[in-house]
Amino acid sequence: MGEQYKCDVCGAPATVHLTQIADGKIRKVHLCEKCAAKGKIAELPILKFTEMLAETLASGGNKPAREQAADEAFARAPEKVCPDCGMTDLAFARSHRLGCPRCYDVFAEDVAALLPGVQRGGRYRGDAGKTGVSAPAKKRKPAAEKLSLAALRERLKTAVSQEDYALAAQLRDEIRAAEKKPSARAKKSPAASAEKKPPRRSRAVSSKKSSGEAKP
Amino acid sequence: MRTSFEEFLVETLGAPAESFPCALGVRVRLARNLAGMPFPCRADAAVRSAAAEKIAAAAERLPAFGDAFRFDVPLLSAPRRNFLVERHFISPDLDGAGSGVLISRFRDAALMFNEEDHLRLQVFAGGNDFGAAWAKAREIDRALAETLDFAFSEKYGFLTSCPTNAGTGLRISVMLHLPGFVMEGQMEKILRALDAVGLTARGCFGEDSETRGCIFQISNEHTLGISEAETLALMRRWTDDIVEQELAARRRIFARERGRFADRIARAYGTLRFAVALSSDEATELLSLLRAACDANLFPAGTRERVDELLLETGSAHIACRASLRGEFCDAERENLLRGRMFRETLSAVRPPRFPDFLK
Repeated sequence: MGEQYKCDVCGAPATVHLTQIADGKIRKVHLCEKCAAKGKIAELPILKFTEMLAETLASGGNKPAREQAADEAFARAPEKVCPDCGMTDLAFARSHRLGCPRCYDVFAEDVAALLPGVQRGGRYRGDAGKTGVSAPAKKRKPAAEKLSLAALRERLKTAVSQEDYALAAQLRDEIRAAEKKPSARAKKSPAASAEKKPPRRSRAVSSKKSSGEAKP
Repeated sequence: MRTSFEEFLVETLGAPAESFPCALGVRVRLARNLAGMPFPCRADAAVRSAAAEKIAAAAERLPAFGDAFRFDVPLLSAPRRNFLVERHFISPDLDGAGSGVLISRFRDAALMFNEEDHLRLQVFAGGNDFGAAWAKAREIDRALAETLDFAFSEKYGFLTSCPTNAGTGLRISVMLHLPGFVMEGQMEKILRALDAVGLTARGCFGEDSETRGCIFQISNEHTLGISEAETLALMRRWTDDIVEQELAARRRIFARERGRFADRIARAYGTLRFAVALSSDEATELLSLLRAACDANLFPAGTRERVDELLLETGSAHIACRASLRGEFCDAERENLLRGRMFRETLSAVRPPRFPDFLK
């Protein structure tokens, strides 16, 4: 699914996920194996553990990686500033809010770093066109030249790494069709079999062919 | 564009809507920003107001918002603001220059100006009717997109102030009444299961809110890497699943603890019917039992509509606004007495629950 929770104490990948309803509120705690073991989670009632956690954080002990990064950020001058609205990378690290459409370009790296923990994927997969009005599913223009199987597989690898799953699906189908022909190689290339499987979704999702990015 | 809050109160209070077992209502929310200007958090008062006026001008022309109410939220008194919060028309964070709300005539759509984003559209439907809410939201979104230029990029979709909303900008949520799971101690297991499929559960008023009366708000977590159609399908599938399991849990409880459960329902009815003073928390917990009883057909048809009405109107702001309409005084002390009176009045028309098998 693309999401990876980080340990609330030390920032390592979390494998223990606690959810509790106490006092009419829902609380979630994510921990890595080490921190969970340290808290002897099996022995303590969950409520007590979250109190321990709060104490650890307050005493300035192992801080969540995100907080630590924010602290370090305060100690230096902003490296990136949006020319349109004045948002800085420090302010973004603190609030996780962007200031204007251009910020998505200026802070592209920071946004990309934030996404894995909070979103299912890195790209928009809806059906709105450039104007934000949903358009009927458009067929992608067929390639002018007939690509070799190897070239198709390279393109597939690139498409997957760029998270353009709509294009990847198209290429996969083209590859399959080409492989069925008698001239195709019998064995699949390592690149194709090592591909990350895109999440299952309806084929009606169109790939957007727009004339460029929207104005900032 | 109507602006009288009194008129709005009169039309809103005591207007019961159709009600369904287990599911209390669906909300489809779309977040959008106008292109070519900063988002509300980096915009000065002039820019925020300009954004609000632009959006309002576009929205007013739509049939969906014909004869709508518009309120300048920072100018409203606290009870009136909280009334809108209790009804889910606005979020508690809505504040600052240019912030406001447009509410459609039949209160099925609300548009917030300058909350976290320039435009937050909400469409409501009853029960678990995702289709109706989504269709209407899409219609309004499309119509607005014809006159407004939304901030949008091919990679990130609709650009929102917080990247957690970018992409579809779509949050679909449903309010579910889950006393069965709560009584069987299954809630935490359900929350973990939902988490694994990209759904989140919260109290009625969003993040950090309370889960009183076994009422939970389930919504999708993601807006990037998932399409609108997939989000809709996800919510439909899991809501159906949860409702089915919840009703099964209730049947198990009825079968296992019939006498004890009947007793709790009867006492809930008795307290709500006759108490002189009721707190919002107590009222909500007791109403939860009555609602479960309605779903089990222990009350006549039409009772659940009243229960849902009471669930909405039990909030402090509702009590205060009702009192002000009647020209009555209301403060913290009086509030519980006024609530008690409201319940006595409403439930006087509801006869006690009937437990045919249990009385043998």
